[in-house]
Amino acid sequence: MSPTAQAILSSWSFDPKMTLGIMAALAFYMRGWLILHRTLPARFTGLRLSAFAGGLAALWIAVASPLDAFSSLLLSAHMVQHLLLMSVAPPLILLSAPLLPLLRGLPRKIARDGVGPFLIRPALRRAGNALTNPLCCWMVMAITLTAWHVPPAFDLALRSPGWHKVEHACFFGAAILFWWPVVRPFPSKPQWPLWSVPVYLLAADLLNTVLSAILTFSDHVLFQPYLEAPRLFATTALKDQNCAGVIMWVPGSLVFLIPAALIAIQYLSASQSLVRPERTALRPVYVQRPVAPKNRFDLLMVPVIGPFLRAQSGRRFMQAVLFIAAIAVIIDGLFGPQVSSMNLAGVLPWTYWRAFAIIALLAAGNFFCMACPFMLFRELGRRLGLRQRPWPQALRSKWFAITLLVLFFWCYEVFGLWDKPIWTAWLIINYFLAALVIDALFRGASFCKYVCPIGQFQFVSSLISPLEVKVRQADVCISCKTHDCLRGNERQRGCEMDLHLPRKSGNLDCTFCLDCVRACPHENIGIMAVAPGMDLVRDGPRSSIGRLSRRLDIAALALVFVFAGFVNAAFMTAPVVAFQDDLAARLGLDSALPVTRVLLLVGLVLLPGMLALSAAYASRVASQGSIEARELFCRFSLSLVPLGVAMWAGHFLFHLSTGWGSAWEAVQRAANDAGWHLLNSPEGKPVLPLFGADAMHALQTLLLDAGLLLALYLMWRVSLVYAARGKAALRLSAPWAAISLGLYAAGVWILLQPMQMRGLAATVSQL
Amino acid sequence: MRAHEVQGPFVVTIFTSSEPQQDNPVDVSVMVQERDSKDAILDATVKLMFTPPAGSVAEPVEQICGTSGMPGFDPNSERFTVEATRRQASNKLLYAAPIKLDAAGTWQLQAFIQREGDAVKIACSLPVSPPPRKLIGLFPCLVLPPLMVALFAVNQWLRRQSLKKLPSPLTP
Repeated sequence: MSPTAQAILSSWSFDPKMTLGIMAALAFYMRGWLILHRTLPARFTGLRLSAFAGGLAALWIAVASPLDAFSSLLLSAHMVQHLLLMSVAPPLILLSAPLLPLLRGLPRKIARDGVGPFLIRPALRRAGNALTNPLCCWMVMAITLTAWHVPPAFDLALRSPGWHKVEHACFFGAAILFWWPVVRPFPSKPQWPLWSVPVYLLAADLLNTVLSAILTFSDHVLFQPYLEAPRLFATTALKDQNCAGVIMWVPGSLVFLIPAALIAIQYLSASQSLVRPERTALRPVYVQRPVAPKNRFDLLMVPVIGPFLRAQSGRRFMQAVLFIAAIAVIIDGLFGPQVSSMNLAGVLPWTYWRAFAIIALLAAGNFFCMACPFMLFRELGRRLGLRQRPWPQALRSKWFAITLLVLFFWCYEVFGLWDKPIWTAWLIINYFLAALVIDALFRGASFCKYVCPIGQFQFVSSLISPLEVKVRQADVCISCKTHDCLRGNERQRGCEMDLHLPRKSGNLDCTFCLDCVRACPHENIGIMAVAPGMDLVRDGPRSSIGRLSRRLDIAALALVFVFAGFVNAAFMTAPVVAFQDDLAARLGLDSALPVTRVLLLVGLVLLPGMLALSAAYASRVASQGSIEARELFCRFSLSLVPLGVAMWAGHFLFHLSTGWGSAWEAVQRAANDAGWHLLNSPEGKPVLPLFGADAMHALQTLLLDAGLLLALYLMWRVSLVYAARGKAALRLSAPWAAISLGLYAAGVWILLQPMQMRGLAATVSQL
Repeated sequence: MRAHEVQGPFVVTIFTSSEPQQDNPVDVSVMVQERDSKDAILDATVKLMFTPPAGSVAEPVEQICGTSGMPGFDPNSERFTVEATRRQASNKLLYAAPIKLDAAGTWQLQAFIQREGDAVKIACSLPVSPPPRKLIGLFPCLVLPPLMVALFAVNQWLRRQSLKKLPSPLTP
């Protein structure tokens, strides 16, 4: 193959948004198709699925293939692109009868409660009928096609990538409408008789013929940018235009004429067998295959991943990997160069581990606790054979862990832990020692439940995770007499956190150790998909936790977690640093450190406490004193968690993006220092960020958007528990919504400030 | 298209994004063709030299993720040079360098094309407009929550309307 042909064929462009959108559409369609195919196999055949996949493939080829790359140089390539967008992708998509599969493909709750109320509105139906009226569809297509082929409009699309996308969207949208009366996708009803369809198509072909004839027979180039563009393949702009006209004329006309002929034959044939009235076909064809009562995703049922997670050796393997990483961090932190961006202790925990832990929490669940390296020392502590006592009654709450968490956040900022590898190493050593001592002296998982600050961070974050360890079928547990998931048996211990699975709700205090899964003799426990955060709406008694509305400590933990996310990010920004310096100067202090210490305490403890208490009393007033302020404090504080997770995720992803690649450099350096010259020396090149600044800002803002919306929704749902009427619920949740909006605004402001580039800038400046 | 010139054995065309903005990605692409056959040349070396507008000082500008190396920045000079490569172009017949320019005004762009002893230079100007405010750039993201809240409010209203229409179970 010639280099030119190779270059042309490799000119694919990958637009992540478009590709992800197409993949998401395919995933939703496939999910819905699978459900419908079980009950209506004659209606939702494999051909439908193939048609949808083919339509999406045509769409993707149109916008991502070399056709797009060459569309600004060759009108003929541009014309093929438009044919795919208007004459191939839309009819294929409509032939797949996409409405029902896409609707069934959505999560049931979203389809029923979110989209459902809109779809059943008569006004919307009337609008839909008016829009899919053949006359309207034809006119929309005709106007779109003609308007965009007027030279100034076409030139605008060629000169501006934004307008080019608008042009494509118009073509695709108009074509979907145009083909609607022709394909009549199930379950829509035909508005005009069948004989009108060939007329409809021929009329469209007439318009297409006029436009393509103008292009084919014109003696001058109609679109200025092609006249200016460099010519390829020894062709002139006029010849290229004529060629484009022929493409529009011949294949473009065939797309209209072939269906017109087929439908005409169908109409004229005596049997009309192809024209099966929709009503006949509506009759469902039930198959005998049983349908599972709950069609819920269970990670443990996934091949390879499920058996790996279930096996004790699988967990041990993950722990060993993290343990080795922790040992490497300790050694490098103690003996390596005290430059955070070159040291494993500066890079692995603060840039990588935090980001991947939060990604895992958002995408799945508390997988860090599952692979926790401190677990090995906890096991060691138990095997020392010391007499173990129960954890002191006075400390059986989260208050001690909250104090440690606040202390950690405070030390992190005041002592700049991220920038001191040796301190990071000592922190991890102390963590190992604490795990060893506490589990040697006390029964159960006291360290995880009452002490570990990382664990508390993970527990709170996992409240909005999409996966949860829970029973598969509740009725199996009703007949269970042994409760092995809690008590354990001779081959497997039960839950160390005292969580009895039938009464467990949500991810709080669950370390994903899967001991319960291995202990259950009925194999009735899975890692199931749940609606993120919805567990917070319920306030039933929970095993080992009780009612959330009575747990002030858990509410306080959530508040510290949420506000620390914003405080931690804000202290990285230049304006906050400048404010501290300014305040210290005004107070006549030599250093800004005392100001930092006080501001941190205000941000981590005083501010959240005061705001939440004020909101609780305001809500109590709104409820006319019928609900205790303590209960409101406990319930609504937890609904702020999504915002906190969003802020932490945005913050950690920023560090991961800016420090991307720094781990490999640090590993190379550490290996070379240790005398292992198997790895090359670090090249010393600056690490380029994974995302550009604009993309990062957009991603962070979208995370905050999602956090705010979920927080507001949770507040609304919690309010409805207390208030039957919408207005009363609004009044009850308004103070908390105000806190959420304030946090959101603070988050957006923080994101827009110049940040301290702990990954990239530090590396660059040190090189 | 910024420039289209026939020089030496080459036909050189320079393309950029239609309206380059300060601190926003600008895609500068160069097509090099044989003068006679108009075949695209795929083995040339293309370097782009940017000269900032009068009165502003060139900073080491950020090159976009995925590009090879950092721009050649000479602190003693106002100019800097980057290499345009086919790897960075979506159309593999072109040589491209995505770059961010940190000052508004008219930049001078010079493209140096070299191939087997033949070298030519093409110059053109590149007007860069001031950047949009960051908040405006985030507008689509910021408008999402109010839009979703409004849709949710309509959804709740519709649900209540349809519940009201349901006959009461006590109604005969």
